[in-house]
Amino acid sequence: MRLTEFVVPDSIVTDLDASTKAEAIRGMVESLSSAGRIPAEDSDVIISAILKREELGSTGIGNGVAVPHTKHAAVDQLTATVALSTRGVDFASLDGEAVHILFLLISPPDLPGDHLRGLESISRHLRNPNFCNFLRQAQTSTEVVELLEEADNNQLD
Amino acid sequence: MTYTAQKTVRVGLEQGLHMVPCSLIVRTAERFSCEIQIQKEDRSADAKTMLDLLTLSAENGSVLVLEARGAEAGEAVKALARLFESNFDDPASGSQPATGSDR
Repeated sequence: MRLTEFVVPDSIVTDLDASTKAEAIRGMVESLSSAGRIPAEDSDVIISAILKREELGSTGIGNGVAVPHTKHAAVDQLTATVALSTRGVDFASLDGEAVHILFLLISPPDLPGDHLRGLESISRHLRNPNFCNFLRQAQTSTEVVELLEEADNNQLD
Repeated sequence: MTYTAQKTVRVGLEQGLHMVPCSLIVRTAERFSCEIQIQKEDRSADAKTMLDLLTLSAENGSVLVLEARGAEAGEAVKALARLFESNFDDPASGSQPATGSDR
């Protein structure tokens, strides 16, 4: 699955104003809502579900990366946004490091395969240090979208 | 002398091998010093690395090969196989009795 198939360009945040996990997740969900991809009235429920999922174990998977996620019927296809934080977010990550790159994923409840393929795509590219380094330096959402396209086309290897 | 051990397991989770079971695999694998790989078809992942495991994209029913090399290789493969055999104690999988936990 290509990143550009499920990351919503208008929802990308390159200067996330958050220092805590809850602030970061709220900012990203509201950004998806502002971009018209989830109804505003569902935002609070989705934020709560993502935070509840974090209680099972942080999705801060190390290397400055977090992939908070949930399943919700507000979307009928895999929907994601990207946020970047220069100062870093305390995400209780597995390696204890602050998080600078966040991919937030909302999956339709009846498509577990798409959820796995989305995670596969994100993690495969995040293993590439070039992708992470360029992403952390991106200043605008246009630059992020270009990087996602280059990653999809395997131009960053 | 190098010890190796191998075992084939099947994913029995409705949601597939998502992040929660992957983190249990990492936590279990880290108890052992040996190198542990999990293979799905032509892909191989380091069982101690979350990003690697997530690239397996292992759906319900997927067949995986656990392979350990080094000290306590047999024990490591057994411990990981137990996770799969117990469906990661996932109440939603329906194959385990409720444990009384609210998770």
